[in-house]
Amino acid sequence: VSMWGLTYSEDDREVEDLGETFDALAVSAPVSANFTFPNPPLGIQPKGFVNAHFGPDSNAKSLQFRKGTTTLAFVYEPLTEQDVGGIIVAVDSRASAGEYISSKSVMKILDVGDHMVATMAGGAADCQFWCRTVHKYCNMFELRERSKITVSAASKYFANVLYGYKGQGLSVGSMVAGYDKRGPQIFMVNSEGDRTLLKTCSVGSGSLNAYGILDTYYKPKMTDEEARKLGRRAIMHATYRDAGSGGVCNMVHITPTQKVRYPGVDVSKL
Amino acid sequence: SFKYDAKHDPLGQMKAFKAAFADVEENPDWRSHKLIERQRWNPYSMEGGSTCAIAGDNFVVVASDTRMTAGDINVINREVDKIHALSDNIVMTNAGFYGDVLQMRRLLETHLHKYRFDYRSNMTVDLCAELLARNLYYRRFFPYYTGVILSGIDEHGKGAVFSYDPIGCIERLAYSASGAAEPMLIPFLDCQVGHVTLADGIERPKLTLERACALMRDAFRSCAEREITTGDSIHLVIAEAGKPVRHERRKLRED
Repeated sequence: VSMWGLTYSEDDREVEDLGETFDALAVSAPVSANFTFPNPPLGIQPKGFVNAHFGPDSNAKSLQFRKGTTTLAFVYEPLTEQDVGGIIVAVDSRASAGEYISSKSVMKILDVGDHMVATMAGGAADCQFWCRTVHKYCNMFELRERSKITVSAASKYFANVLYGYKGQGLSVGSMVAGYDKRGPQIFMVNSEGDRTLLKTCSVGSGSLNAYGILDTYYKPKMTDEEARKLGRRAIMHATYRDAGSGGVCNMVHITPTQKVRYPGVDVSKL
Repeated sequence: SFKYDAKHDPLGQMKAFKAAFADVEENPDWRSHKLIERQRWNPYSMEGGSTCAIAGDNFVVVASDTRMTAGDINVINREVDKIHALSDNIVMTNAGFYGDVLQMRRLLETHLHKYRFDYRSNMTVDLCAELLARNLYYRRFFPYYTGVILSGIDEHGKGAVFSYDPIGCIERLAYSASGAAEPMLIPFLDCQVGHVTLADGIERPKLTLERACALMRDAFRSCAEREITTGDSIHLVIAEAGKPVRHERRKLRED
């Protein structure tokens, strides 16, 4: 039996006017500046509450949050004249709610700007929502500053936002990858508040398997075809051995000029 | 002199001491009724039932059962509406805690009404889907206890089904199910609508409105056989491009 409330503040707070809360949430869309997430009443801490009712030990197995994945990204330079170089981002497409596969066709590469993508790993809804927030921030930045936002700045904003909710049970393991004036960069951002610049990166339940393949066959200079094959191969091995990954291998190739999305390939055909 | 053998603990004294210590830790004397209430507070309950939706080329078929149960055992109501047609091209269906179902319906109706007031046209399904995803996430730390499916006809006239998890992970699919019988409905639909069991070369049967309705009725009849909270009657809602929403009801097993 665990106590949810760490704050034992005994001062009675008046019951909030529910009409006000309903209006604030429903009738007028929340403004970012003064929006706070509603917490459960009685001072119950949200992390324990959500875990008790929606976690693996809860009553409703079908209402668990969607999770589980393998995502990877790596930077490579072009080997020959015909190659373009850049970043390859490859992901699987399975979302599992507990032991049940709730979806086999999730798109885990989300746009965060014209020249950047962010991957989704960990909690699916968390990643979708916060990547969308970062995308909005990038758009506003470009409108204000009239220049493209750097990958470093976007990932910094992302990490700062996540740090604000540290300890409340968010689960986000995202890689922000893009091409800017400093070249191709991949930042791994975490709901713990980590933010690291990496050349090869893999996040998710199948990341260990993907790292095995990536570390063995990665070369700093590769042809485009080799790079694509490496991405697909790593995802295939990860989905083979990890129960939380599967479905379709989606890939995005970020070049200095554009983002190219490749159609998904069923992993059982790889 | 008293020699206490801690390793074997023949009188069970060490065991009793440890149990008393743990008990005091968990239930201290100074704990007030407020803290006890906080620990036991459970606002949720499951009313059971299941729902399902299939999207076609220019139609969408949404089905649910109409049974409401309390604690998996008692049947409270045999004629509950779990499908809410919010407009001619948006249909929301929900399985889970009925209080949150009603609240979500009020939320969406308010938003649709406000949209119509602001923009003088009806909200499209894609926009409503994004709105619902965000509204579900706004309650990230005190979630709605439901599995929502939003369906309708999008602006190109095609059927759309959007499936969510309780905190708003959105995905557009060809078919979806939620509720108690979800693990039974999805494999059936994977086979009959997704054709995952057919080899690549074989021709797939076309998904017409009649086939979709027949599949839904069959799916719910077989779920009612094997699932205790699903039954009583099937409520079918059919939304087609350019036509008003149609409702159909069929009897199911009442046991």
